[in-house]
Amino acid sequence: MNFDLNQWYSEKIDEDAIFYYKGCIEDQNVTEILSSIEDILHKNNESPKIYKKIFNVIVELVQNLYHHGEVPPELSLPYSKFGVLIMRDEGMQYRISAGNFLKIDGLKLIRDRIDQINTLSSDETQSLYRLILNNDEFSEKGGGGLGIVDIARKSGNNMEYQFLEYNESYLFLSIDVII
Amino acid sequence: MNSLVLKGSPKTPSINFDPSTGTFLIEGRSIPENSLDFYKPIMEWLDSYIGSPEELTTVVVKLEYFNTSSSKCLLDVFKKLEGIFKRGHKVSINWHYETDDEDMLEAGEDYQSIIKIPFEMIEDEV
Repeated sequence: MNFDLNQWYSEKIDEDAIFYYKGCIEDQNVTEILSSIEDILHKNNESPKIYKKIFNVIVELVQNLYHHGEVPPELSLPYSKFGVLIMRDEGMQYRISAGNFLKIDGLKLIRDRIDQINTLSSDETQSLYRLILNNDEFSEKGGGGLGIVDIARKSGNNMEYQFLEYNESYLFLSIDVII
Repeated sequence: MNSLVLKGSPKTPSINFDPSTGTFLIEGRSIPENSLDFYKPIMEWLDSYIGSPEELTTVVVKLEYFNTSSSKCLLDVFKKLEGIFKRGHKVSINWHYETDDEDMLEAGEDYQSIIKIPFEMIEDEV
């Protein structure tokens, strides 16, 4: 059965969900999302260390959506960047889920990169980060996967991901980061 | 040569580069979606400065957050200054981080591992 975005989203929104957003990811939306996240972390009296980690990870996740979140034509949306972001307070940890559509041919690159990062020790993640940072192939928009390495480094946990088949051209990628 | 002064915003740092003293301050947040747009005028200003730099250039970096697209631009800033360092001018980078912010300390160490300019890691009590 093909992926049902609305069902997937509604199942994620339970009493632990302290922030959720689904929709356009343009400049202004990114600013508003980040501002809301800061308000929530302030209200939660989160420690500066965890606060910064969460904010940093969310900056990277949301900007990934901004740069890579595509809109399948079937959705008939009036904008071209679409993404989902959910933050859950699970008591002992925060779970941040980001989701976006991507064309099927992008699957292998992203899956291989996350799988690779998930096998690395923290020292190896640091070495990979430095290698990509100093690599001329890395551009402002990314491309070298520095954002995803940074997320792994800051969270210190493996990323959980799912590729869900939407139609013959598009997949939906969801990534969970635990802090 | 005029100073380069840019006011900070929720997504971009305040910049105060004073060519008469060789003191360059980068402070606040650097999390724009399109970092190149923000850093382009800074790089152009630096291109002029490195033509006739002060004997000592001190870069003070006091960042609360920066995203990975800014991290590349910051590296480019440091690489430009590394050029004058290699020509025999004194350059130092004072990298500030708040107590307990190990991620920001590590970020400074990342640059320190790549760039030959001396770094001083400065812990700021919150």
